[in-house]
Amino acid sequence: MIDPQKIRQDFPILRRVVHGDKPLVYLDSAATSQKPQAVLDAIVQYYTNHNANVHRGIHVLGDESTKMFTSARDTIAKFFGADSDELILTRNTTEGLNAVVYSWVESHIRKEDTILLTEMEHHSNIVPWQRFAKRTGCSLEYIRVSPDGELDLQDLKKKCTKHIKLIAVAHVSNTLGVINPITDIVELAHTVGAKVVVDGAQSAPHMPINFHTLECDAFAFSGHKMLGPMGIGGLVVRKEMMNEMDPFLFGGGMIREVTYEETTFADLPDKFIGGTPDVASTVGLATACEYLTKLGMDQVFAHDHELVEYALEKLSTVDGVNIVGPMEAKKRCGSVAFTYTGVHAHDVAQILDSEGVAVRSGHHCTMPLHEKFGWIATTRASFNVYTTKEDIDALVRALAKVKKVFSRV
Amino acid sequence: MCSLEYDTAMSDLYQEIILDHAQHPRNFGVLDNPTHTIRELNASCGDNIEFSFHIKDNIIQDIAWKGAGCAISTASSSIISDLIKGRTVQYAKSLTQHEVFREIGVSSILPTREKCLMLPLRVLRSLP
Repeated sequence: MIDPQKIRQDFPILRRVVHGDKPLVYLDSAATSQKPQAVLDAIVQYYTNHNANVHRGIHVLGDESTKMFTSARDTIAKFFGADSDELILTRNTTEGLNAVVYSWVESHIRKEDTILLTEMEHHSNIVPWQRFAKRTGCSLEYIRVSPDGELDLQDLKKKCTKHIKLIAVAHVSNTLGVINPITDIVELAHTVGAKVVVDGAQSAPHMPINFHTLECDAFAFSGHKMLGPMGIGGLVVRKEMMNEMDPFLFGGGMIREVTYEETTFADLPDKFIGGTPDVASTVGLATACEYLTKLGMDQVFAHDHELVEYALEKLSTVDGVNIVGPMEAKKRCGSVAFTYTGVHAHDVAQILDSEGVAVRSGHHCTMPLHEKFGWIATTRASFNVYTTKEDIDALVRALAKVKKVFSRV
Repeated sequence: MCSLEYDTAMSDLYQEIILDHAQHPRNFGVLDNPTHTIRELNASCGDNIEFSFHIKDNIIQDIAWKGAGCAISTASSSIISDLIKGRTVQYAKSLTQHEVFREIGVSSILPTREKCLMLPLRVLRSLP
């Protein structure tokens, strides 16, 4: 089992105090994770010693930078169990999902087709499809979420017809915390010839991912949620689908030949790298992947499970707290969100913050799901490798202050 | 922001006047025959309010509002509804954040909570 106390030594920001003398209790890792010193060093080291544009300058720095970039891409692809030419670097999950729309969906889905989503999707896995559907007139359907916060597989079976050309689904819900059965969804989808696109933003930081055994067609992730820097992420795509994809960002670096009239594109992966890439962040993300690999993703997942189980147990004893999503820890990953009777989530978060406890409050970019369940807003505590059970204890203690403040009048 | 400023801002936020209005909001509900109804959302919070007005001869004769929001947006809506009842539409439209601060008795607000306080002001800006 990994030792979070030891891991915390690698994260300088966790030594911070806030509001005078209160130690920072960071429970907002699902929004963005903190970064280990190794990642920070890798970025500074790149800019300090190797900075040059990639694939362009024929000089020492150009060679070093290109080599570092290529090797970082390889490391990231390998982390997800994918081949290097199956990885398209993007800024984040949102850009990865949009890339599927512009590079594949535009040329493969027609008016009479249907795209299937789920009711628990993040806005970034709803809006791109919704915009496409409005542009082209194709249909959008949503797989139901059951009252206990799980995907309704019967509803999936019912809706997975030959009209479905693509299913886009979160691996782990950022609000319900529930893990969706991707392999079951893929099996069903492939029998009707539909592609499966997975939003891996909340699973990649916590679960061992093997893109090939997961068997989905595309998997999008954000580097900044998995100990890497902001501004870098990726879309892993199966070769068959990749071969059917057109570039969607046109410009320098991604071309083979340009005349005033015509352009031919570079080979993979360069044809999806329009313009100068964020090399430093790519190197930073590769370092984060190495850091996680060293800890062992099985161990990381086990640690998360322990925290989820502990949080469910402790939070369910707090007066006024109503946990959303399944109550069985084994069905969940990464976070526990809740409503607090009589107090809005923003007020809960503000008071928790005054005790040094950082959580997320609001609708977490799942407005339709909040509307469906009648939650105005929820408060979410989320975890990463450096999170301890003491952090959860601090949350529970700080929740007592919410009651105190709101019982004054 | 240093911690002293922060603690002041924090205790300002949950002072009695705000908690009182948040828990006992004034003019809460819907008018029977409103002349104007305006809805506003705080996209990042999920806060949702609806004001109904009875406006005659350019005067806000009656006002009611309903919605679900945090203590800050609820108190702000409540205080503002009291403030503009019986006043002219121009007065309501020209209310500033500074004047709302003065009514509540705070000197500033944390940047992340500004939009909560401003939500009812955005409603007033949409008045004809």
